[in-house]
Amino acid sequence: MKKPEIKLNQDPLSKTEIESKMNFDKFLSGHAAASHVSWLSKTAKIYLSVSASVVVVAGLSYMVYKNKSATADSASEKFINPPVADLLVKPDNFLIDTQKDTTITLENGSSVFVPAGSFVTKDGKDVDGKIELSYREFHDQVDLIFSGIPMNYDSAGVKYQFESAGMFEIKAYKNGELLGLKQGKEITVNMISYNEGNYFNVYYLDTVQKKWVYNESNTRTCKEKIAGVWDEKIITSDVRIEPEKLIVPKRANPDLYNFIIDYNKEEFPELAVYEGVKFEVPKEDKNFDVKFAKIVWDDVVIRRHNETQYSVTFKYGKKSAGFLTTPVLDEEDFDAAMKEYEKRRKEHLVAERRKNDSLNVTNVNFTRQANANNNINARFDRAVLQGTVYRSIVVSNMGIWNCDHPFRFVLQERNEKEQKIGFPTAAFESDNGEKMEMKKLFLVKRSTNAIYPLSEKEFKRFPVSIAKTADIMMGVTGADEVVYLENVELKNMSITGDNIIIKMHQISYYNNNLKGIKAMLKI
Amino acid sequence: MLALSLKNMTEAAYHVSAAAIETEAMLVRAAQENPRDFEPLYKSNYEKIVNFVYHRLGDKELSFDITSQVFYKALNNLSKYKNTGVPFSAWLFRIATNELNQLYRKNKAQPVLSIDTSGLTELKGDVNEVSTAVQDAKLFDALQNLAEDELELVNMRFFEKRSFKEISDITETGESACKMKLYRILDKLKIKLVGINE
Repeated sequence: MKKPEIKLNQDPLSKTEIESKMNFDKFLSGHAAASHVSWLSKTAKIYLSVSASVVVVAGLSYMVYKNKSATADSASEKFINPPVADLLVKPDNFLIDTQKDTTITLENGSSVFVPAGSFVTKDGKDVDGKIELSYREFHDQVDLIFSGIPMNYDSAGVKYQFESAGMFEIKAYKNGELLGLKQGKEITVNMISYNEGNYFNVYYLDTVQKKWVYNESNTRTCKEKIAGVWDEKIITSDVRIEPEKLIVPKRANPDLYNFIIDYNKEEFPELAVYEGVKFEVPKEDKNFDVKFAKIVWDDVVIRRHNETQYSVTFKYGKKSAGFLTTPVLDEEDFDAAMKEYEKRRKEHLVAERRKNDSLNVTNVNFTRQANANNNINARFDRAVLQGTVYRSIVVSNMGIWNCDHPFRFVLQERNEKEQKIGFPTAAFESDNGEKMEMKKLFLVKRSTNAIYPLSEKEFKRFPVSIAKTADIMMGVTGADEVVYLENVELKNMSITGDNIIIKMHQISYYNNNLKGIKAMLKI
Repeated sequence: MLALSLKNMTEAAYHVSAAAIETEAMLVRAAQENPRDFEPLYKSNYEKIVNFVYHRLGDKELSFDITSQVFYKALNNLSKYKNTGVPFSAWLFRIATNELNQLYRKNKAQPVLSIDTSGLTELKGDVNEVSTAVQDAKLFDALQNLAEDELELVNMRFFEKRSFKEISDITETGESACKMKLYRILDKLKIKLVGINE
């Protein structure tokens, strides 16, 4: 080798130079082409002198292969695509002996039971000795966003988003080779769930068909077990309105206007417990006009405003009128309402006491039992009795499983201007005014464990009225920066002409991890 | 024997957690199944590799070409990659080193030693603890006459400011062996430059 040439203080490569050359798509297509050229030239060396037709066939095979490969890659890119590699939930990895039954307990309380002899290689051969089990869970909106796993479900042509009660991925490897689950073997996962509802189904992500597949038997078992949790809670549905949510009956003021609305009793159970509720308009509300009583309104929308007041909006064609009201009772209904209030308050207190007593006893019993028997069912029972919900899923395929409820994000409709001229053209900027190219954008509501991805088309023609319904809009830029905007800022977005500039906040360097992002966004 | 403290050397920030290595292993497994999933590994390592190559070639365009070649080879051989608990980048650095050595041997490129002033001062300080007044020309000559692997070690430690842990990962040599080897090289340089052997 020649002696090295000394270069003192050589110009370094600039970020711009590096970024201009770093192009994965180009690299990958070049790589595919290079691989095939190399294969083709080898074939040519052998057959060229024998028959030209062989070379033609080889060329055709190459074309077919190339097209198939490109399609598969692009479909795969759309299917599971973590927006930032560094922000993926990290899996826990365990070395387990395939000859023995194994129970793994995670720090958060979830557990995985793997029976002996569960794994096979790709070609169906039994696997002996130690294998590596990789397991991770996704629990909230931030986990879901950075997993890159599609959280939507298509049922009978209708697109739904998934509200999640927890999702997990389970994989097994031996010497780096992905293993499958042996036919007839089942792994039981008891996954902790931070979403207590009993309306979640179980789905398996079929990565070949690229869709979520509903799993009926797991759904049924899960719902039965969760129903057991609710039984333990003793509280009946009527008493479930906690005292602080009950409205203390209030007498109607004879000097103020009130009206009766035929509201949905399931939506407002705190009002439905009383007979004869009316909505009274405070004196200071200037939006109310006595003439409203003469109009036959098409629709009325009621929303809780605070602990004692409800906003009421009447609609008739394009006309609408909204004001705040207080639920009140006429004198003849007031006494009965007070009795009902007292009765429910006492029932609730008794139920609470019974529940606490029951838990104290079972906790003591359980501690003894758990010490003697540390099996997976006991752990599940403990969780149930202590009020922690676990989803028990019998895994029949390695991969991604989800406890979910398909639903449609309640999104505001386009406003009048948007209906006429369409959505404004959007440009994204940082707080410092630097332009940002968005790679992913999601709308998030804190109260619902789901994410609503905006399409690339929507990055450009931005659906302002829809975005305003979210608590947070979260995005990832082309440079893999995590950016966000809170609800107040979403609501204050202003449109100039047909354009909108959306200033997104960047997550600071110190918070650029899943925990930091969740803490910052209060998720 | 010289008592070398390497006191002036600033320790490079190189700490890759076990969790990060595990995440990389997971990404490698994903990429082994689908080349499209090689993207996170490509993006997170591109800058490191192109700088490594450029440092040794001094030619921008050629460095980008060689970097592409490194990633092609990595992707082609990904099925053979085994996670040994060191960062994935260490494997890429080794591929890059092989690529560069092939270029040099075929006389398709001139090897380059990129030296920056701060690294030079640190090296001089460690070679001659009393004074850094070692003539550059003499030092350059001494460096140019080192064996390939010796020069590479000095280069990584002083001019690329890599930690012993990282050098150990790249060269697949134990950390203490790397330190020992470097001390011996510095001894050698000191004898050549200041003629002292304590």
